[in-house]
Amino acid sequence: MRVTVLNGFLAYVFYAGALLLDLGRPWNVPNPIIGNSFGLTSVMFLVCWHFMLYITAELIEFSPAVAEWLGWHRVRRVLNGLTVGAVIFGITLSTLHQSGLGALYMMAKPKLHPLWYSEFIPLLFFISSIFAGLTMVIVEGSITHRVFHHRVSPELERSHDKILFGLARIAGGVMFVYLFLTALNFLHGELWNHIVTGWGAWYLVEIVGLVALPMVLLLAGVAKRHLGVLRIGAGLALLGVILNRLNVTTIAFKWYEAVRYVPSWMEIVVTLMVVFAEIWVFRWVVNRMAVLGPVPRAVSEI
Amino acid sequence: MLESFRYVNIFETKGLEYLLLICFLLLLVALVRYMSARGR
Repeated sequence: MRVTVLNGFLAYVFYAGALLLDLGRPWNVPNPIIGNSFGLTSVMFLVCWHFMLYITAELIEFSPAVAEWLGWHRVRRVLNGLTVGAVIFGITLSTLHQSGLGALYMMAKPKLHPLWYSEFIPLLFFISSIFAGLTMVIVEGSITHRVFHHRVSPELERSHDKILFGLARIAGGVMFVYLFLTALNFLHGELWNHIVTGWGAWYLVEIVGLVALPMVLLLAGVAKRHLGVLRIGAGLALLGVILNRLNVTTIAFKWYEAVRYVPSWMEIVVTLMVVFAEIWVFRWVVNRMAVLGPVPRAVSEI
Repeated sequence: MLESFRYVNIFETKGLEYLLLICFLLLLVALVRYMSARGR
């Protein structure tokens, strides 16, 4: 539980940092908060507020671990009482901002390839974010379990496989729903003529290779109790969501233009720097706080 | 305009979408049965 919250919290914080580096003009960041041009008509206003509130909710969820580390027992008790509310608030926010990110692209109908444009893009973004989160937990949990094996508590060690099978079962079910909606959207939009083009082949790579195939692997992994198959399925599903977001925002965006956007080496280096800095902070926290191990007895008894 | 509309045309009546829905519902039943049988 804590390791997932920590991972989500750090991902959001570092993503916000990466956005700052990408967009520039950091002095405009407080504008949606202080009212110097709120930007109420923009979907970005919604996304910005969700982002800030979600980071705060995740910080509250993780804060008992920080209080334990600092030895603030009374503060920990108060923070522990806030976590259930923070979890409910966080789930509500994430449903809204994932669909909000998709809603951004509803304005870009002429720019986005018809195979990826849909009136239901907020709903598709939301549903795909559910299985993205679940498969991310499977992949990240498997890596953490191996790398920090010495820090994993015996209780977590025993329940680890069971948790992964449970997550995979839910992820497979959600992917089934996502596939149905994608197919319905395809038929409703009468996109037959696009499927025989190169873009159609690329679309099939995403939908068949990185959604349908991982769904089968995840469900087969659960049915046959095979962790290896399940992990491959989770990895492929995660790649599928990444590819979907890249297709919508970059690859199939302004698909008709002769000169396409390709990131420069400096952008790649900055992105890698942000990712590695996040991993470094994650490791720093896991090695110091009760993230994977049991809560210290002196604290848990209070 | 109405005269050109054919109720037997599967594209115009959105019949394909209904067929897809039925197929997915049947697949869902099969999937749940398969997973429950394996889970037992």
